[in-house]
Amino acid sequence: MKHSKTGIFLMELIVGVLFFSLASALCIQIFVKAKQMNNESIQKSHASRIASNMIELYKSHELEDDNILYFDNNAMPTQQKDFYCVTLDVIDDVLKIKVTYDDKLVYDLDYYHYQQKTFEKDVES
Amino acid sequence: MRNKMEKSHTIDLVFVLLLFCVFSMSALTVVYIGSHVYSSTVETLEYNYGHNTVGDYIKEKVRQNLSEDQIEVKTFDEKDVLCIHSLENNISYTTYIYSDQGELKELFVNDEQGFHIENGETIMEVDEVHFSINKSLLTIEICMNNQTQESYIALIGGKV
Repeated sequence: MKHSKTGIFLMELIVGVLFFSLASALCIQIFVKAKQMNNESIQKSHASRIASNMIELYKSHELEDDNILYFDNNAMPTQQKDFYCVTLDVIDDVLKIKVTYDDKLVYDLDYYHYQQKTFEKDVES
Repeated sequence: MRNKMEKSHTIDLVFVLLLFCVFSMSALTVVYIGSHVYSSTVETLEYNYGHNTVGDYIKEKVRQNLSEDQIEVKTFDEKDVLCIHSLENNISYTTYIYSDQGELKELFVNDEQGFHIENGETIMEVDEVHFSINKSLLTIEICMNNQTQESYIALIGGKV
């Protein structure tokens, strides 16, 4: 059986194209995963800052009665529904904070504020 | 016969060239996507480094002296300056934190010497930092790379 040169060349090309397609598919998968991880890290960073701010507001009794708050894509407060939604609940003096991004839970934190005791200094001594 | 041979050769050449073009375009696309992902990752790292480092540095400084009567916000040359008062060996000192000429600066001086804005030591680059105190709540606003970040600290330490 005799193979023509063109047939072998075509075979080589097909193998080359297949190898490249596999490699590029793998690369694109890795890139997509990296992009997702990057987005998740931004969301977690924003969510932790929002939660931290909520705790500070709670400590200074400045937290408003609204138990649902909204924040934009840069974690700045907004009045209407936006990317970040923060749900606050106070149960048995524990502040429960849930931060969602596009209805997906990204941060969940319980905070209990231990009241600081104050001591009067002994003036006579 | 000769015509037929020439025609098949032309098709071979065109096919290979076309394949090469598709190959190079795909390679370029993959490289472009990769560079885009890399640049967005670098941006995130810079954002985290910039905003979070400045915010955490100031918060840590405030928390070391977390008392309403130790923390004060003043305005010098239309710039917000965070003043953290402390007492060491019966001598009163103040730590001034402020932004000047695109840099976050800090100055720790004896109260007798007074505050001079140009004497501050550079901490890191930042566009602007604003401070305000409202009902025992310190608000820190950090502007960097056209993005603004707001953080709060409750000044609940009581009087010293």
